[in-house]
Order: sequence, then structure tokens, then C-alpha cells
Amino acid sequence: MWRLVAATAVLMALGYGTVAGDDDLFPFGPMVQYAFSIPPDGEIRSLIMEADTTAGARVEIPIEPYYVGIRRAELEGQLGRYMAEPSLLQELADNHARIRPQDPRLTKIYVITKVITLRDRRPASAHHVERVTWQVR
Amino acid sequence: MAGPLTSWWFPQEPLRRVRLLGVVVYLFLPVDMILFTGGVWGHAHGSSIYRPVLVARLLHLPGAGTALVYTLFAVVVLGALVAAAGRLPRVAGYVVALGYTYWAVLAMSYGKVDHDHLALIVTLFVLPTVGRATVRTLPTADQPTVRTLPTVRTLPTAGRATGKTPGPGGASTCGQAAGWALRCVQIAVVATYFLSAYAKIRHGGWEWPNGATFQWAVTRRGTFFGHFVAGIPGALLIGQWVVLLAETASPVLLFLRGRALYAGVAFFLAFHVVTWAAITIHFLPHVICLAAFLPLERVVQRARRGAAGQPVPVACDKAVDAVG
Repeated sequence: MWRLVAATAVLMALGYGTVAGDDDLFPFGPMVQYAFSIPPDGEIRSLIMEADTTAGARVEIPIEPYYVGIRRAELEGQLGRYMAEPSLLQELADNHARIRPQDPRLTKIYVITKVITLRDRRPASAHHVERVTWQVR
Repeated sequence: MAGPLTSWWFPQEPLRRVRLLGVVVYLFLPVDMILFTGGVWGHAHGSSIYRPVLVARLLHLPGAGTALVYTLFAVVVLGALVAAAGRLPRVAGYVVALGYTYWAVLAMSYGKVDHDHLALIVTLFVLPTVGRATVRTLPTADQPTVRTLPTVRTLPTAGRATGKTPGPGGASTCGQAAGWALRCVQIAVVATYFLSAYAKIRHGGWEWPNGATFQWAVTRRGTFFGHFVAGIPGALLIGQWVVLLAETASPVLLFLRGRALYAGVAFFLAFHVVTWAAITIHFLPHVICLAAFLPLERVVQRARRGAAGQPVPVACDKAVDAVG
């Protein structure tokens, strides 16, 4: 009997999360992977990170745990927080130095939104928008 | 409690199937914790961007730190190995379920929530409810399989087949507790598909299948194969329709049997393979739970028969029919 009760409770939580909840209700939140519409002539936005390094070059740094300690989606999900408090990017530089000690150190970080404009569901043009920068200490 | 609903929720299923599913899932956990929820390691050295999800706030769970991450990993992996070995299935199973759920909550508490872990977490919580479903209870070469099994299988129909009721073959082989556990995993798998179809319409509107969401995915993280497919006129548009319709239709998996069921499982497997090849999203924590639809015990049995020349035992419900 407890099995039916438990299963019903979980299904009800899941039902509530799906209909009225959001990601905060994990693991009972809605299954929102790719659950948004991009109009055929809309825009595709993704974050990229560039950095000046001690080697003198400006390079793109993958926003991955094994480069800077966080996932790109995490930076995207909390971009507002980073824009309000750019010093949070210091942690990414520190992580990079710790995780990849053989790489040149980052001296300045640029977080950039890459905007691709679609025409009839195909990429037509692209441009970059700088969102937040940080002079590494 | 009787009737079709009860027999659907509590089908007679081989304990061995649950046991094998457990082995697969428990051995998968370390892989998941290193690769797929491996973002947790990135936060182990202190992170200012902890944004705990509701359950973590309610329970005041601390964010990732070196000691916590290493300890949690060690406890879960050790527990998983013990449970995979068939030892202390309840204690080890619940420790792993709770520990891994905490790990998953951590992974989702830094700004991004993934949606491929529902079935895995449900699996971890239902596995220990079955108790000791040991591999060794299976008929061996010394025991004539087909003849003894029906008698054995009538034992657990009371619903509490924990393996503690030994039959003539040494232990029970089928039970409703096993059936309930497998059913729960199956429902979680189907719910992941079906509810994501619902979410696409809830958040993306009815225009979702005619939009450019797949182009968005390929542009952001497409592989060579993904860009190749995107270059075929209409391919991504058709893909969006196929995915939405398939996810909507996924509950049929719960009612199909035999080859139709295997074909359905194969379809979704193929979907995940294509998705992985195109945009490197594999959904593996969810994919391994598709195994709950398959007669795992027969796969292993067949492999053994190939080696030892033994007959394959019949399925649970057939055996029950033979007796009843």
C-alpha cells in the first residue's frame, strides 16, 4: 500500500512541477530542455569567453569545468549576477590558473554574447556584444 | 487490492531483472559523477555563485566544498559498489540514493538545471525496496529449469517477494515488489519524455515544432554531423515534429509488449544516439534506465546458455498461467 501512496505522491509533485513549477523544484520541475521557441527569423544567443593572457594574445577560453571551473550554461543562467558583480570573474581566472597551470595566465576576461540572426531557420549573420569584463588581479 | 490497475502497478517480474538493472545503474554512478554531473568538482574549491534549488534551501544543504565533495563522492561510490555486489541492498541502496540525490542537487545549484536525471534518481530510490534479489537464486545447470520454475513462481504472489521466501530452487525468482520497482522506473522514463513534450508547448507555445529551436541547438553546440544534418533542407524542421510527436506518444511504452516494446525502446535509443552525434547531448543517465523495459535476465541467460547449453527459462506470467 505504501508503494501506491509513494508513487502517487511523486507523480503529483511531478505534475505540479510540470504545470506550475520551474527549475527551482528540481527534481520535480518541468522538463524544459529545449522548451522554448526560436522564431524562424529570430536570434540565437550564446556566451563565449575571451581573455588577454600573459603570452600577449587574446584567446577564446572554453567555458567548461576543466578550463574555468563552471559550465557555460551556469554562466548564462547567472549572467545578471556576474554583470552586477564583475569581480566574480576573478574566481574563473583563479580556477583557470589552478586547473591549467601550464597555460599562460589570464590578465583580462571578456564575457561576450554571440548573436546569430536567422533567416528562414538558417544562420544569416553574426555579431558580438560585450557583456562584462574583468581585469584579473 | 485487486483488479487490472493493481496488476498493472504490481506485475510479476523477475527479481533478477531488478538485480541486473541495479548492477548497471550502480556501476554507472561513478561515471556520471565524474563526467556528467562532474561540474560539481569545478565548484569544490569554493564558489561564490551557489544558487541552491528549493530542496537544498529547505534542508539548508551547504554548497560544494572540498571536504564535502570528496566525502560525498567516496560514500556514494563505495555504497554503489557494495550494492552492485548484492551486499546490504537496503542500507547501501538508500545511502546511495540519498547521497547521489544530494550530489545531483549540488550539480543543479549553480545556475543550470539538467533534466536527464529523473529516471536515475527514481531508480536509486526503488531499487532498495526490493531487497535482496540475488543473482545466485537463478536456476543453474544442476536444476531442471522449466519444470521447477512454475512452483517457485507461485510463492511471491502475495506481493512481498523480497527473496526471503525460499522456494524449491533455493529462493523466489519473481515478485510483485520487483514488478513495482521496474514499473516506477518505466514511468519515470516515460514521464521524462511526455512531460518534456508538455513543457515545449507550455513554454514554447504551439509554434514550437515550426520554430528554429534545433538550429539554435546545432549553432550553439553542433558537431560536424549536426551541421551536416542542419544543411539538409527541412531536416531540422522534420526532426522537431518527430521529437514532439514521439515524446507525446511515449506512454505507449507502458502498454506494449514483446517486439513492439523492443521496437519502441530501440526508437528512443536511436533518438538519443542521433542527438548525441549531432549536438553531443547524450542523456545517458536517462538512457540506461530504458533498460527497465528489457528482459535483462534473459540476455544474460542467453549468453550463459550459449556457453553452457542450458535452456532459457520462461517468463514470470507465463509460468503463473501454467500453474493457475
